[in-house]
Amino acid sequence: MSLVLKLALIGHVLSGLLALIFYYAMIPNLIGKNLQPNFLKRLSLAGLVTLLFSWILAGYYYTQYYGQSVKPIIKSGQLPWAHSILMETKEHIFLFLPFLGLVLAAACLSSKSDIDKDETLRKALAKLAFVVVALGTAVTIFGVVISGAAK
Amino acid sequence: MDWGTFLKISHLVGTVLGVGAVTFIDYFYIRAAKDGKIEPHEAEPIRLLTPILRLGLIILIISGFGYFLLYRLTGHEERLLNPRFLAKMSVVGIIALNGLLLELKKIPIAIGGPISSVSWWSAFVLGAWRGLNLSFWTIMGSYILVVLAAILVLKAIKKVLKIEI
Repeated sequence: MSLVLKLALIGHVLSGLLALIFYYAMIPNLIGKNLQPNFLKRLSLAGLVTLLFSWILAGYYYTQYYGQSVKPIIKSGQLPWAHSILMETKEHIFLFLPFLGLVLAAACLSSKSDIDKDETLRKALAKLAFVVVALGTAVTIFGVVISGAAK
Repeated sequence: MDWGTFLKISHLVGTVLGVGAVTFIDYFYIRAAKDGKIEPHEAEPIRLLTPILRLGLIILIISGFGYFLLYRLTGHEERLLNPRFLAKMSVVGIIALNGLLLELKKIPIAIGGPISSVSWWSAFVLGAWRGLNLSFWTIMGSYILVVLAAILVLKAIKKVLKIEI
């Protein structure tokens, strides 16, 4: 694996993790009593940027390396389902995560947003942030198993 | 310093902060709750230790994924499917979820507290016990039994000390 591909993989994993931490931190802020709108705005923006960064790097790694070099090893190995089920699922979930992040950022950053007054909106956004964290955690675990199967 | 040593130190720092903070939070909680109510000044140490706990968790997770990358990039991918590694990852996931539920007050402290303590200590033991050679489900089954035992022990302590909260 070339240095660029290694950096792409490292960047993908670490920025994806950071995105999950940012979205995780949003949940108690949205539901709790100490609402901090500016902190929420920063978290939602940081979450979106890191998620997009992870997205682009993963796309590069996947198209330039995974298909040709990793996928055949997994498919001929002891855990072929790591690709046919986990990677196929991971791809599809991963494709729309940034769009969920975009919705959260738009809702928090919009000048017309009543986030500090509208409790229903806050609860809905907290649920959406939880969905992002849950799906992100699932694809992270899939990534670990897929990598483990590439031997 | 090579990456392996850097990750080992980071991982240990995260674990030490988490295990240390959770242990002292338990101690201050039991001490403060003895008289049946927690005064604001008694809650202060718990409030101060909570960010340390969070920092420990963040360092633990990031360095844990550092290990993941190290194994992946150095051709030791088989270690990623090691039951001890997978169990530790699951326990850390439980710490994060339990922390969120406690923060949102969606789980009583009598249950969330023991889950947090046992999970941090389990992550520490799983990380340190290199020779542990059990299946994933045996490790997780033992962990669940210890969590249940800790909930019962906390209940017993509260009964003995006549703590009503």
